[in-house]
Amino acid sequence: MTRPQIPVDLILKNLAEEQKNTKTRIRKAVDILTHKLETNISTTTYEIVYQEDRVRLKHYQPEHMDIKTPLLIVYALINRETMLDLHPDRSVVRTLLKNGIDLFMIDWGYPTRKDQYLTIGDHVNGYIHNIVEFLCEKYNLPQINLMGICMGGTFCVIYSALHPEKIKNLVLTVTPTNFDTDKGLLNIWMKNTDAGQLGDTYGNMPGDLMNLGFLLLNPARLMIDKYFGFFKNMDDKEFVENFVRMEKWIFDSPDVPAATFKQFINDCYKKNLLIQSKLEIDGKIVDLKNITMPVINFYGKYDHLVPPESCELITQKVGSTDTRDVCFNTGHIGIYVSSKCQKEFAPQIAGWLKEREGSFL
Amino acid sequence: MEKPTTAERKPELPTFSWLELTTGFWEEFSRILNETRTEPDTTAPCSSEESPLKDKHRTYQAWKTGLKSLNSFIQMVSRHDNQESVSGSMVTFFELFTQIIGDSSENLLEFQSQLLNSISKIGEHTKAYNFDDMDQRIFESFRHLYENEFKKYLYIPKLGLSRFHLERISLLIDKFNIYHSHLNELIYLFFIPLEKTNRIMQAKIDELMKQKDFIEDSGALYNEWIKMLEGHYMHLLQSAEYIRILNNTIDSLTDYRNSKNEVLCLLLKELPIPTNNEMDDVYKELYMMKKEIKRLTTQLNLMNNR
Repeated sequence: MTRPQIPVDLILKNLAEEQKNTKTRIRKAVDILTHKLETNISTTTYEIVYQEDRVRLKHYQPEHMDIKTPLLIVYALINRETMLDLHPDRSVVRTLLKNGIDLFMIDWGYPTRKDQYLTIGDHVNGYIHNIVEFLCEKYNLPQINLMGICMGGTFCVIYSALHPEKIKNLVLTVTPTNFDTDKGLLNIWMKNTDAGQLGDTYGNMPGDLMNLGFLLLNPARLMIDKYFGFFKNMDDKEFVENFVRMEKWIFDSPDVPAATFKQFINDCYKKNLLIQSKLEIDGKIVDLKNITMPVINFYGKYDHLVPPESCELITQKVGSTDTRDVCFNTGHIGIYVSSKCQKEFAPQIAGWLKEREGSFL
Repeated sequence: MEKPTTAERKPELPTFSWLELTTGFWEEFSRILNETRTEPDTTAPCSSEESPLKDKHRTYQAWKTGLKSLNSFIQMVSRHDNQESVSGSMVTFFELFTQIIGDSSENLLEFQSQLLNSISKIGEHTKAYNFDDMDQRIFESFRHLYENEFKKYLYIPKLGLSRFHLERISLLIDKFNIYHSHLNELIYLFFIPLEKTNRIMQAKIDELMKQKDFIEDSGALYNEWIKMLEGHYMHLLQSAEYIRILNNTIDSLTDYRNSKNEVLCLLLKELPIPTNNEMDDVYKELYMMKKEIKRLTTQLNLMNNR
């Protein structure tokens, strides 16, 4: 059988067509990029109801209140809480409000050099505890609902174990609690390097340096493919706007107080003390058996930062008998921003909280 | 004084004639200048010993003394009985110089051979998804050369009033060099997956071309390339070698930053600006005080509630 010859005329025709398309795309892209783009993030109205040092408490008021107990969201110290309200049509905040949840969210602000001595204990027993007390007093309630995101979830686990009487329901999302796994690159790196010293050296751990570390977790996708995708789609205004929104959020990275960073690396990543109920905060052992309130635990199957192995053990270790694990087929951020998860994630939280609201009212 | 004989004067040192000639020239030059500039000023109210011109004269005197000393030194050096020790010193100096150069050239040659070896390896076949055969000896060789040949000069004991500052600056230069060597090694690692992926893809395209298969969809080719690159990176980033180099970079960055901060603090000490170290002390005190106030407030509230 004779093989077909290379169709040179077809190659040239394709090349010419491709060149023409690229030219048209670039012309359109220039037009889009040089005109006004709607790229604002965190557009849902809120009110600052409490402030301590740089830490502020945002209050999002729902139009109708289906759940009386307020929900306090504790975001990680890495990146900012604006991720939950990136786009009006894909906003966890708006979905929770639509479901009648009275929502409060901690904005950790931007730590400066004077915050370098703040430990995990100062965040948990200080800022979080003071905010919980403020809310309990404001609503005249003994307990509130608590939701944690990533490192914020770890803080929520610690808080719920140290102050179980204050928490009615605990929602954990992509929360690392078991650090003894080699499934995530971050776990391997943190365990085998002395990254904790960087915090001391810089005063605080610089957000940009951490971001660089996150980019290096997958350079092919995050440093090449991502921008290739942008180049391919830059003639699509909506795509460009969403891309810029994500870029705004991802590179808005506050520094992490040195003492907290060091403690998190040493006690969690290196010694894995939390899941063993051996972590000591302000002289008290964080006993996971004290977590007796209902717990729902969300995580992503393809999370490269906090792999499932790092999240799923917590429900077996807590003292609560009402626990649920929910695994989404997505990554670390996809849970909050992908259109598919938008339809399931926040509504599921609202539904789960509603089911448990009756026992208190 | 008895004039030295020609045999005695004839220098064995190659530089002697030149020195003698130079000294003679400056002596003559000094004499002419003195004659033209040190004429007595009769109008001056004070004596010639106190006149301003005397100061100038003193300068020339000092110059002349200096030249005379130099001349005496050269003559002393050229004396027959001193020739042996001078030659000995010169030999020692040359020996020392040769030793330093010899050691360094030996290491430099080793480094060059390593470099050539590494260059020759470019283009050799490397296995896909395998990062055990990475060739970073070039960086290690450079560090070895630096540690053995250059670093020691930075740590020559510093003397005098500025000793402390010079020590800090030397430390900073040393840490900077080490950090950049580790950083370059780390950056180099990130190019290896690109190199491997490109080579494999090129081989694949060549194979397709040989079979006269035409790749119409460049998007599909890109997707395959990026997937392969991602796979290579995943293997690299988990490898023990990468972690070792990453850790070295972190350690050396910490050392470099610390030594840089020390030098900056020294510079800032001269300016009316508080240094980071000073501010850190204040922040620490503030932090402790706030904690104490919070503890006392809680205690007071508890007492009031009782």
